[in-house]
Amino acid sequence: MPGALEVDGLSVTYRAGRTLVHALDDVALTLPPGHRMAIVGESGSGKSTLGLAVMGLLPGNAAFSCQRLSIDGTAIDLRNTKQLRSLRGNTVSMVFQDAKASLDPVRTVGSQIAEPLRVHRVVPKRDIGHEVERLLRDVEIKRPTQTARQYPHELSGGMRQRAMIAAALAGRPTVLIADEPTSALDVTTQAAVIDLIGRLGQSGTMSALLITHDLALVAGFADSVTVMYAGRIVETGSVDEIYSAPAHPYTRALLASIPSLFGDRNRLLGSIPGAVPDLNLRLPGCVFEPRCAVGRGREICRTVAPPMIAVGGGGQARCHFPGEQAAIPTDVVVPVAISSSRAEMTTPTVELRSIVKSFHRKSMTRGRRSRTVAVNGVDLVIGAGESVGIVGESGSGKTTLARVLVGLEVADSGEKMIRVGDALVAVTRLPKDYVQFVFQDPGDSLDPLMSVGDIIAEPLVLRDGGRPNRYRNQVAALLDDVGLRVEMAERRPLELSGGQRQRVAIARALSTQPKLIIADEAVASLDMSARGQILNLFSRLQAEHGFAYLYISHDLSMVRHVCDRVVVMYGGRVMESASTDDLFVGPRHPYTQALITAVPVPDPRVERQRERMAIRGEANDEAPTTGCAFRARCPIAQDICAEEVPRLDTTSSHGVACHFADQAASLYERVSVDAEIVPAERVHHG
Amino acid sequence: MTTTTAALDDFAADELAPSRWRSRLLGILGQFGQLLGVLVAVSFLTFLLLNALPGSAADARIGPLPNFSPEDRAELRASLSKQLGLDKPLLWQYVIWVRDAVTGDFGLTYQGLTVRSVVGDRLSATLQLAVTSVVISVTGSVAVSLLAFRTRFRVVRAVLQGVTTLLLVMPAFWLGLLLVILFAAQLNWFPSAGYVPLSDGLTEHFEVLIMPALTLALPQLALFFRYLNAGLHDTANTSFVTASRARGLSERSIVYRHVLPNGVLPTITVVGLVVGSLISGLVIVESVFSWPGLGLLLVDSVRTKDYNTVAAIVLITAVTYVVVAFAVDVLYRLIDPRTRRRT
Amino acid sequence: MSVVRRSRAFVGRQPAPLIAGVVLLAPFLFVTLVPGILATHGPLSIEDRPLLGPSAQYWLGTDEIGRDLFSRSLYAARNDILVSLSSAFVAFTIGTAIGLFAGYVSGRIDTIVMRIVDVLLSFPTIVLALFLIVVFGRRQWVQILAIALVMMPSMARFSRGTGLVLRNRGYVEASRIAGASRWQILRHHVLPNSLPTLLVAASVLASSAVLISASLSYLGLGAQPPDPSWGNMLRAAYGVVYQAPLYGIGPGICVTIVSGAYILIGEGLRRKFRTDRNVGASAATVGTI
Repeated sequence: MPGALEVDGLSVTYRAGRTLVHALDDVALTLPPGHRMAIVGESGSGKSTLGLAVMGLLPGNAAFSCQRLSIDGTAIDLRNTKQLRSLRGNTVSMVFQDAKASLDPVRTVGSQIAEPLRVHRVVPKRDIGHEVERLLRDVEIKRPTQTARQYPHELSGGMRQRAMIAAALAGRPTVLIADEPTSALDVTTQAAVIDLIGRLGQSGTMSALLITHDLALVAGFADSVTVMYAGRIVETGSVDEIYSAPAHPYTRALLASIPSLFGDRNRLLGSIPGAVPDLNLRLPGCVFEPRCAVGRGREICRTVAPPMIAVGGGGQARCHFPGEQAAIPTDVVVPVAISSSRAEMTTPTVELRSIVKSFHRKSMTRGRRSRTVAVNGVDLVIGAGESVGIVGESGSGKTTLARVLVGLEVADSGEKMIRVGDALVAVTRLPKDYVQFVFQDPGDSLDPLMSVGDIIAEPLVLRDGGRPNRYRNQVAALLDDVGLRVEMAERRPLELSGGQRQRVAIARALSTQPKLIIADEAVASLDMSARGQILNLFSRLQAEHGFAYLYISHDLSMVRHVCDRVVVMYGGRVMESASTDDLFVGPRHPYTQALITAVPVPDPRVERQRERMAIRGEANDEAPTTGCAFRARCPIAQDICAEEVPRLDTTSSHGVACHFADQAASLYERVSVDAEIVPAERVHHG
Repeated sequence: MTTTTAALDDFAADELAPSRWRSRLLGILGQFGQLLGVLVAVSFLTFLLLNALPGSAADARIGPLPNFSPEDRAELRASLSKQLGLDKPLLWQYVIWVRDAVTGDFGLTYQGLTVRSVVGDRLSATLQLAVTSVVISVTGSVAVSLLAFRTRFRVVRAVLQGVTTLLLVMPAFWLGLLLVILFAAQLNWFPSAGYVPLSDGLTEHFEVLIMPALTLALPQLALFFRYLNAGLHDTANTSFVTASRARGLSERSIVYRHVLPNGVLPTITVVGLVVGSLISGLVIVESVFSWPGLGLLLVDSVRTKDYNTVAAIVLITAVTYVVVAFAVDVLYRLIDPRTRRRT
Repeated sequence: MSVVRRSRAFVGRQPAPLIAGVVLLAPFLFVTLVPGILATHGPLSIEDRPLLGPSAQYWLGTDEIGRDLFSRSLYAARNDILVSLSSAFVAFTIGTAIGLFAGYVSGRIDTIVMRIVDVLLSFPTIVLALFLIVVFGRRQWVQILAIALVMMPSMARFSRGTGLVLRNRGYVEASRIAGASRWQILRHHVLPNSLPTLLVAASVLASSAVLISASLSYLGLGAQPPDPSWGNMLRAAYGVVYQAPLYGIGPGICVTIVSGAYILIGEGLRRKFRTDRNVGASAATVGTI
């Protein structure tokens, strides 16, 4: 039985100016029919290149060589454009990452789905319209006729992605390749779309290839997993084997670095020191060796490139010492005080009362002067030294709230109070060193023309005057604090990696010894292996310096590891507020429940048993402003939800803003998985 | 793992959608209102300039009138003062001026003819030139861009880039001169100057028209080409083009169905700007070729301080600019669905 | 390393268009300062019979009065280069100041400024300059100011776009949080980071300025005879196109080269600064007049 997709000996090199980038090095894989495989890797792993190469969609500056490529038994010549064109969209099709950018904005969605139907003559011309609607129904779009006539910008993110999938299915392909199809989507939508792709791949006639960086997502989707690093395949295996007994040190380190909804939330996240190597150098030996806990410095790992070796359970690993255990470094010395500092909750450092903030949008797509209420009456209290997380999807208002807090936006109404002495005082403008902010994109938040030292010293200069040189000693101390070498002060941001830049941003935030540091998705733009480093850094710094910490994120697993208290926002309002343990063990708001059940867990057995909480629609910024913000999507909403705004009980330690919290609780019991399931023995921590 | 997800409702579609046409209309009206405002501002500024000139306002308005005797002039001046309301506040005068302008009365020229008749005579000549040149530059630039985009030979592309850059840095009148040297002096295909109205024969008219039209059109073509080129290349690198390729479309289909419609969008604005400010180019080209149009009239009028005529032509220019900007906006809305209001 | 070698290495590192532009422009700048050296004859002296073709003695021939065309072309540079650079400079500084500020502060100030700019933009360029010169006289400084006024709105519009983009950069917001005042941010963050892009626009401005100034001269509103300017030389060339067709080659090439050199310098600067994550723009997308 020929594989749905068989690749052997594929190598791809990009020419960028005068340098060559070896994106793929002798890659081979086999995708059986009716099978779901995930290709996992971080940036630079070559996973996207692999998907493009198979489709023959490599850009003009790419040189490739391939020993063998066949789909469904038919050999494919990557240089035969005519053959490729007849296969694309027909036998093998692809779904891309950002549906907004991957659909032609000036043509209707239906016409684009019809394209492969027309080109490959899948159905006679007169039936194309019906076929388009049938495809849209297959991807669970409720009003196919209407949707087909709409333009991409008129659809929500999830619907756009579904439309893309419909277009990919049009030719009834044997292989469906999905390249990061859900990275741009919200958690709840992501879950639904991945489920859809998974179901389609199970149908027996089609195989699905999911390319992603998200290891948690893979656990619930794939039958088998292929792990890539720096252009090579380093491990393959069944999904159970990979998660329970990973053989390659990279896989093991990666698994240790991702946070999870279950398991010990106080453990430090693993990390991988160093960075992905330059892909234009071709060094002897194992490409992972410089960062490998098992092989670093070992003679054979440095000089001999390891072959693929068979490991237990039918998998393979490209390693000289597969399965060998070693301590995964967490690169941070853990002070004893780390747990106790989290429990402190005394006088509030910052308090927000009834904050309302709306925007007048003038964008062309939504008509002039539309008013969006981003934050619709939010109270927030942050105690000294406390770490609070705000979670929400797009349109929740969490970022706007943070920006109001720090002074980048001015609230329409409400009060901002800070601690002066022993009392809370209302202020309109914060003192310069009270709150600091770490942005999501470190490449954007550091002035490329300034030296690292000047960047870090800037808040000090602004507060105390003088020139940056005056603060050289403080800068050196701060660099040391964030784990950077002191010589870095002379460098420019462009010379640094993403993780290093974020450390500089953190050092800058620390410089004025603020009482509160806000991090807005501070690790979202970093690789998974680098995230652990930064989060651990935050924990340590907080223990040492004692600042309060507000962490804004959409990533629930991350928040669970980092914060002591969690606030859940939706549509500009707070839905639930509780300590982390309470929230994740017993969520009481339907939205929180839906979120938690939608978050993927990096454990295949758990994922297989999970049921999702049913909610309608998608998160966007059009939540109703009267009554409960969540009522349009809530499975248990009733009339009163439209009339009365449910109030959050601020006196209790676990506040819920819902009229039917008890009903929600019983609904959740039926759906949730026992949180006591502890994944099988994995990696040890140092 | 199973899901109990209810089928996802299209939440947005639950809302009743107002008709697309109505929202389009509102958008257009809003844009028109804005442009009208610009028109008013320009006309007011022109009016101010007229009145800020040395010499009494009455003199400027009425014109030097060298053909009239001093007594007649004084009489005319007195009566026109009354008529134009020069003793009233400035704003009132402006309103009168606008009112007159709307009916086509711009006063008298230097020689005592009505501005209206003089301008009217020249208008058709200018229009012929302007329209021809725009047609040449627009169609030419699209053809050349597509050629440069689809050609396999890098030489062709490089040559086109070089020629267009050159066209953009050379002065228009030098281009005209070169064309004249080549086609008139050396080859003797076309005359170097002069004008033959359409009524006197198509071929002769064409012969006189072609050189000034080319002189005007070629730099425009070069500018449009630059924008089109950039637009096409930017579009070619987008994700949705790759996605269409992934569906099996031929390269040719991709270019005409996806790249071209998206790629021309930024150029449309530029075309609008150029057409709206065509008068600047016309001034030069008409001078060079002695083409009896508004541009030449403008230069002469400014030199002889015939402000009435100047004001009239400037106003016509401003109106053209507004109309063209409006047309561009409407065109944009027709082509790019993102500019329409959300349905 | 010796000074020579170091300077050669420095030059070698610059992008090609930059070098080409500077090389092309240099002789004209040189001539503006020290005309005597390169010119073969005086610009005003009548040397020979009129309308001679190019020869060994008169490299480009003689004009309708008998003056050497080559020398006159060079001397004309003094006027045209001075006018173009000055007006470009004025338009650049004032336009950038207004636009960058308006774009950065956004809101009502921005709207008001942009409305004014819109109105100014809808005046046809040459007409406005023409008008101003006729009214205020044909002196050189009037020319410079008139051309500057005409180019200022587009510069303001362009730099406003830049200001708007930079306003949303993370490091600008970080500075705001740390307590920086508007002026501090404009001075230390916005201006330095927008300079490369703005310099490209400035080069386009200079190129336009040369063309406008030549056009005005052509219409008789520039340097007055007997002083040479490329525009009025071309006008004369037109009159004698059948007798001496090669008359106009010299001055026309000069204008083209200078105008092109400015653009090349701008393109070179853009390539040089492209590595930084600044606001990007290419000379292609900055409109000409």
